[in-house]
Amino acid sequence: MPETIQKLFKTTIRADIHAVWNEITRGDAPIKCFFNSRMDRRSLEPGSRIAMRSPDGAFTGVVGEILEVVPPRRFAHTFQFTRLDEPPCKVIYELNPVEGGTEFIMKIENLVAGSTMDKQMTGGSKLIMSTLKSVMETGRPSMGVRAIFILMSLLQFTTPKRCRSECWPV
Amino acid sequence: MLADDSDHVFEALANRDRRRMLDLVQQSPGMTIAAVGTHFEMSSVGVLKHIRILERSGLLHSEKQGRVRKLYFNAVPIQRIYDRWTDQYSQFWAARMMDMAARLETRAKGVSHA
Repeated sequence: MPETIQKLFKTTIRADIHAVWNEITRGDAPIKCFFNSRMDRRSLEPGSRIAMRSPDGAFTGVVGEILEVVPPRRFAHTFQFTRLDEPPCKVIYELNPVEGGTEFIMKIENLVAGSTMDKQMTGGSKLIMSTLKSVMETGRPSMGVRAIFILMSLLQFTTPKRCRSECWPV
Repeated sequence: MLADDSDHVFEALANRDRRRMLDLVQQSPGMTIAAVGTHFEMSSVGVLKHIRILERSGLLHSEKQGRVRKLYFNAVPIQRIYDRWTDQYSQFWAARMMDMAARLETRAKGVSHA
């Protein structure tokens, strides 16, 4: 069995805990902090499959299964990149009310140390944390992140066929 | 970390032993305080004092798991400091990229209407 590790990212956001919860679990629009992906799911309940799809729905970057839903404190799901042949990890979001805002903790468990997923999750998580903070405090991502969204949209035609959404129903 | 609490981050990073502690925890997520202490010739009280400073800065997060307290490195405060001074430069490139995207979209619309 390869060695697995847990990683953690934490920030404090000047926003109400319910607003932060609604943002990270929304299913009605792209979630900016999750690379502008739409969270497709049958329901927001444990056992439901989720798929993080491109804004136009054509491609799916991540799939998983919801494990815990405790509004507005805790949300957990398995996490698997559709373009990688690596075992899924587990992502846990913990929200705690603190003076002036919400403490937001993102934990990633069962990461195989040094794997591609480990590297991509570590890099991506920093962007998730800063974008969520920016969206909740200013109403939109930073200009740099908005530029990344544009670049992702322009390069969507390079996405592998295996990531097409018809391959990943929920 | 609310408001501009970067003072705590710079204070935490301004000590060689604390930087070494961060390296150790980053390399071995979930390390216990006792395990960190084995790498230093100082009392457990001294180690704990440094750990508390790192926790206050947000660079370390501790969690009680069973009978032990495990430590995790949190890179977000460093990322925020980096973003603070680099966003103004990335804005230049972001503006250029948005301009390019707008021109490409206009050109694509022109082709589809032709």
